Amino acid sequence: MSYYGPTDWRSNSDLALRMRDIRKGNLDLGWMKAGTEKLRFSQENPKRGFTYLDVNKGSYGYDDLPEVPRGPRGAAPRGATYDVKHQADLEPELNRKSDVWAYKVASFTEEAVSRQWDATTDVPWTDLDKYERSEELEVAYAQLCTFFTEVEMIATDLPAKWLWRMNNQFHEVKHFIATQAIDEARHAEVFRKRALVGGVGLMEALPQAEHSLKAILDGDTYGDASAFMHLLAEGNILTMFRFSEFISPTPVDKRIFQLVMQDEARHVSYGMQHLKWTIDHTPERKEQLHSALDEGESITINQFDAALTECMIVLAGKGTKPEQIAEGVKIVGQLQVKQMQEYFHRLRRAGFEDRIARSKFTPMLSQLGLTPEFTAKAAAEVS
Amino acid sequence: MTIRFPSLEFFQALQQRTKEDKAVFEKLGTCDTNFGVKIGSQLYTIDFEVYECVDVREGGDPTRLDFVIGGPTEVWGEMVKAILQHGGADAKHTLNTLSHVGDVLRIETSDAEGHDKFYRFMASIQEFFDQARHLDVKVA
Repeated sequence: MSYYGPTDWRSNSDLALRMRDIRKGNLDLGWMKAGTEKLRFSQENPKRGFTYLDVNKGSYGYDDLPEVPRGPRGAAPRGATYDVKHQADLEPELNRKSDVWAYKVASFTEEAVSRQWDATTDVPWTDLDKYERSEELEVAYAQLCTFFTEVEMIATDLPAKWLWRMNNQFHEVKHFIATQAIDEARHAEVFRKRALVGGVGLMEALPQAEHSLKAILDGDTYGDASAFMHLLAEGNILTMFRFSEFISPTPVDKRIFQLVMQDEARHVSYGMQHLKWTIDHTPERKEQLHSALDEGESITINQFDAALTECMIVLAGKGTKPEQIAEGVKIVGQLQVKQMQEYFHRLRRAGFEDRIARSKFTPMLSQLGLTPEFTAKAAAEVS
Repeated sequence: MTIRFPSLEFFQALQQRTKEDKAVFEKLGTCDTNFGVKIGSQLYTIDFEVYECVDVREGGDPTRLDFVIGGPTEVWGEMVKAILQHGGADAKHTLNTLSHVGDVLRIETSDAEGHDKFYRFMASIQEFFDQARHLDVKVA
């Protein structure tokens, strides 16, 4: 216990007197005249249900929420009355709307709630035995799943780390990143189960990945962490999920990646819209975001030299014979270029085009011969 | 009644399936997107709202759609045949697999957010096509 209230209520005579009074039926009923706004709310579309968008009105809504809400710093819900003098200060660190807000965040939250799934029952696990898989490919698949499990555990911690630091006036964002935490926990669960159910077990944990994950987790601000996590890292992982669905040998694995892909794409969309909101409302933060992404890109590139890249090559080429590896190298090269291209498209959409010229990805990938021209040529050659 | 593929009737029949198999689509969650399916040079516009497909039509303005999945008629035909044969897309014929590497199917979009919607609603869109398993389809 580190917080002790200013009064010991166990031996407070005023409280005891008041409690006795209430027990006699002498109620104050002052709370019945709170004076909060009386509005009528209705569902815009009954098929969709009663959404955050339906309650976006007046003092309860988010459209009129100022950049710095000077109201309660505790848990008073937006639109309730509060007594600042007597309320606990929960000391939120993220008190500006531009710190956390994103265009369409209420829609993302509703979508997240609606599209939840269950790793225990929504994957046809028992069907896996129907499909023949080589030992070699199953080992490579287990390595891929080990990497994804590591990544998703930190992806669970990151939103949880920042969630309680956000002012409760921004509850739509808090709700969204709470759904993100549960999404990521489910991803860690599904990949762990997949590695184990294949009979190989978990493989190598990768230091390259863990340094990258630490950098995400230790972002100086939520904006830095979000740009790195939602846009750069999850964008890369989304492209890898697409790739993994592509190389998955069984419909069971395809199903897993179709499901995780949906969640990841939603997180990336939030990240893109948060970055756009930040740049539109506080352009002075651009330089700090550039610095965060400079480091993010640098540390992300390190994963290209890891068991991760090798297991993807083996999976893409369907084996370890020289001709299979050559085929795998071609396919994985396309994935790496695609990761960069999609990241740039998202930066452009977020209004952060100037990042593209500064990005560390372009020169690094060019040195490796990984250019859009390479992708076009490789795409034509891949059988 | 046998439905020809590709045709507007095929997509109308799939639209109807989202109402008849409503529980499956509700389980997958809300899906709000307007996208295109380009088979050869013929574009079909598909509108999803909440849980179901609310409209399909021939033509449309690709620049106003979230994304367009396009490819040769033969590739689409193979995909539909695989769905009919396996009761749903097999590993070689899912939408993502066909559109990820190489020039099999292409995802065309002018907007990164629209592009990401293809992934956000992947399971619903795949299920939409997989519903062809319930239809009597003749692939041209």
